[in-house]
Amino acid sequence: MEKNKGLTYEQVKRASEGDCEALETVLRVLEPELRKKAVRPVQTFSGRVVWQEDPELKGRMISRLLRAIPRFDCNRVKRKET
Amino acid sequence: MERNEAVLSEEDKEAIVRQFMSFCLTAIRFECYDFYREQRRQSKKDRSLFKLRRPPRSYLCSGFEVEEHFLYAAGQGIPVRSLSIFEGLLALEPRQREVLLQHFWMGMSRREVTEELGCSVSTVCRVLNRALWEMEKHLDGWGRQNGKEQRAYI
Repeated sequence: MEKNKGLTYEQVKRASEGDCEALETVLRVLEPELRKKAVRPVQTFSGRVVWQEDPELKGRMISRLLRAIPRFDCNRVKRKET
Repeated sequence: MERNEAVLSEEDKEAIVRQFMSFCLTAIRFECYDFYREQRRQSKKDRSLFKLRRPPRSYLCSGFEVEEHFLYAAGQGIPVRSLSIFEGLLALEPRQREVLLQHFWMGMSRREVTEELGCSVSTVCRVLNRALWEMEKHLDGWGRQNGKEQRAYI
């Protein structure tokens, strides 16, 4: 089963309503995933390839999340039809 | 299934939180896809421009060339510094040369070239690809030989 990583229903609901504190909590919970996705190979001037976090990509992912979260419907439960 | 908060059981709330997490992860994943797609497009464009702008090595070894050669596109004189590239451009068909000069030297987008020439975007793309291929052939395989090495750095 997928872990909830510390988020509660109330926090999710407040985040989807645009509450800043709840959104910060959500971003904090998602931080490891954001960091993992934002790491990419970058070539230095000396020609060496190093893996480092791309601030542009991370910023884009955060802004996409902030645009997407208000669209989440908290009263809808999806269940598998049996 | 839609329910009010009052009737949501603990199980439902947990399910909603799980749905929320996967919703967020999907948004992150799609943004990554978009980002890398844009990067690929940009690098492809830079690579083809880089191939044309940089003179071949044989030319570099033969000494310095300070003379500029002029070609005309969209009513403007465009200076071309490299003799080999100038010759390559002359060898192209007039339409291919026009498209290449407008897109790479004058910095016009494909859509703007389309408006200038009065043809479709797909035609411009086709002419552009063909012209790049012809230029590469004319430069004696220079671009193709160095393609691998360039790809590693872009």
